[in-house]
Amino acid sequence: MNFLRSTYLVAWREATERARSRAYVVSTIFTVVLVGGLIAVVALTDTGGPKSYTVGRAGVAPPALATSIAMVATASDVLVSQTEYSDAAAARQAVADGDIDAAIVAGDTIVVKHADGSTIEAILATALGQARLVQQLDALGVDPATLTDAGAISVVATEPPKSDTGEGIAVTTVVLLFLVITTYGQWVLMGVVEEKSTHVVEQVVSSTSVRSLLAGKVIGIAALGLGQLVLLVVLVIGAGSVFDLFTLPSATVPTALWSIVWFLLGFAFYAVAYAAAASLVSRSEDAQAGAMPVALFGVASYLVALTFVVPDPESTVSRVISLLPPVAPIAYPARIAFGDAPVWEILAGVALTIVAIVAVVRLAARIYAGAILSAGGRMKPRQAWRASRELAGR
Amino acid sequence: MLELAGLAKRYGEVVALDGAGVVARPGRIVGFLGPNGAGKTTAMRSVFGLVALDAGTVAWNGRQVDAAARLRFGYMPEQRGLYPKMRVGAQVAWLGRLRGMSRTDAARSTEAWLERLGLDGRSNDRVEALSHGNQQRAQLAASLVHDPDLLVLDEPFSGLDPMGVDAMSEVIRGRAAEGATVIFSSHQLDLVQDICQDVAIIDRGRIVAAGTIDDVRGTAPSRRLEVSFTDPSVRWDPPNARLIRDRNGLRIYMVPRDADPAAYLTGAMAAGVVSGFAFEAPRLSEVFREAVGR
Ligand SMILES: Nc1ncnc2c1ncn2[C@@H]1O[C@H](COP(=O)(O)OP(=O)(O)O)[C@@H](O)[C@H]1O
Ligand SMILES: [Mg+2]
Repeated sequence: MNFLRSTYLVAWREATERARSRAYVVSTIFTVVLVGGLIAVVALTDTGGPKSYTVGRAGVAPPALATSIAMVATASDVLVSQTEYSDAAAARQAVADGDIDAAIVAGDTIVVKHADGSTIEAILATALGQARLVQQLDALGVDPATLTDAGAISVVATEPPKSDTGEGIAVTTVVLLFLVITTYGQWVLMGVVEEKSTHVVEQVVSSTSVRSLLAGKVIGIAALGLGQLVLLVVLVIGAGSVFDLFTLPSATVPTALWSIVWFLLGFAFYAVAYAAAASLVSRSEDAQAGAMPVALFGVASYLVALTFVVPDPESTVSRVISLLPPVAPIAYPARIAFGDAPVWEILAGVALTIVAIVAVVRLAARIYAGAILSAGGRMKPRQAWRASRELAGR
Repeated sequence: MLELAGLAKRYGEVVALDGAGVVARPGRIVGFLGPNGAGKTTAMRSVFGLVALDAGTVAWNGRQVDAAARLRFGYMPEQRGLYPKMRVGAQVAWLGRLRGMSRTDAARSTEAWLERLGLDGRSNDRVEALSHGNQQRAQLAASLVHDPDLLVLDEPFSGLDPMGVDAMSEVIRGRAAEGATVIFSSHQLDLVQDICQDVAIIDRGRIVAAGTIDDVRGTAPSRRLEVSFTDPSVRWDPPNARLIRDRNGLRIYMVPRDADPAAYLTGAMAAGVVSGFAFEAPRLSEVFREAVGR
């Protein structure tokens, strides 16, 4: 039997046995609910989209009023649609009925339902002021265009423009990736300990290689994690775009797709490390203590991503930190969510992570091979390393 | 044919194997005997590459055992274990596929073995839901599902009730009759004498006796001297003899193999009235005790 076939069989067993387990079903529901909640918060607070108002005009007014309202509205990031009314009374009535949000009548009165200093009040006041100014300048024979010519004023930026995407998506992605990688990493941990503590590993390894068992387990569990992630991505994007329930930031789709790539990379890195840690202990009670170093790496990366990368994704610190392989899988998707990470940096992060994965896999596979068949209590990594030198070829 | 030769393995200060060699032939059953800690498990694990030997060779049909050869081997480890939450049938079939069977072959064979071992109807139960005895049967099915050419069973009778012992014996005999090579370790010498044609006795990592049961008994360094006196109180002290039993006038001694039976008979008759006399090869249990010196 070749390596691929036995690895496939091990992976198949892991995936099918666990997909049926209550733990998988519960964790899928939990993650869907969690992400659904986060996305809802994002949609409601971060990206409500521009507000829109309808405004009525009636009676004599400065000629530039309509243009002025449109300009001020655009500057304030508000959508304003305008309607002409035949007389002031009709416009007032429309405001009173709630058909429109506000009206300007007779060129000197702003009508609102409640005078509470709302955005539209301010917009109309400013627009009216400007329109009058233009009218007076015009009367003096000054061409207002020379005053408002944008070309005469230059805008100098100290930083490149920020894109519209929210921190919300970045935070969601960091939390989600950390959760999924840790959850499924723990499954690998418990799975390896179970095989060792129940001694079934001896039966399995008598007819396949230790490396197939390790690879198959990691791949099988990764498939479950991937399934869950894809389900989430489809749900989120589907709900956002197809049913138009909320407006998602423009980086959602690329972030979601990249998250899948980063999940696979991050999971490979952490799961193999978890497996090696697990192989060193013989009883499930010792599993968590044995996996502490790996778990700490995960939590540290998560915190680093949240405290450094999310608030300022393109600072030098963030750029360097997010390149580090244990942090990269969690931090990069956050940077991608902001939409400003250069492609070459993303690819460099991927490449570095792959290199790290290769190193971890070699180290961990060797510790695993040396330790998985040992009986008795806890083994030190060094002992396992030496033991596997002897077990070459298994 | 399985040939283990010159096996050596140390665990720190502990010598687990010290040059042991064992041969097992097709269609025959080898009983692998030895006290606790003698090295039986270590030797059996070496067949599956589960221990890194310090020295020695493991050959199957004249060739070094490799991963491909092992697919035709069945193993029942000393430490039993199956995935507790997996269903019995699925698990046995999966192990069959892991040894190269197609999905349909594995399913068919699983069904046949579960039925033969009295587990029909339990196929969809989780392993952890089975009784201890049934878990043992499932374990046996797991080692047999691919109808292996070599069967290595580490203490297969331990923890079995008499019915379980009978079922296990029948399966072992059946596989040998079908041409498989079988080796199993045991302490239960009566069973070994009943089931096996060959034995190998290991002590402190070395083989101290090996061959067919008759050979081992015949070439043992001692002979069994049995004398019955009509009067149990007769005083008789035969030379070079070690008394191993004395009950109601029946006395059993171990004497050197080259001793002269006639001299013992003459001496016994001089001491009292003799109602029975035998001079024969020792029983397997006696060979075993003598060989391991305890
Ligand atoms: N993995 C191991 N680590 C340390 N000592 C071991 C290990 N396996 C076996 N031993 C020691 O090697 C000796 C032989 O053990 P074993 O092969 O299990 O004997 P048996 O099966 O005949 O009882 C024993 O002293 C045992 O303690
Ligand atoms: Mg043993």
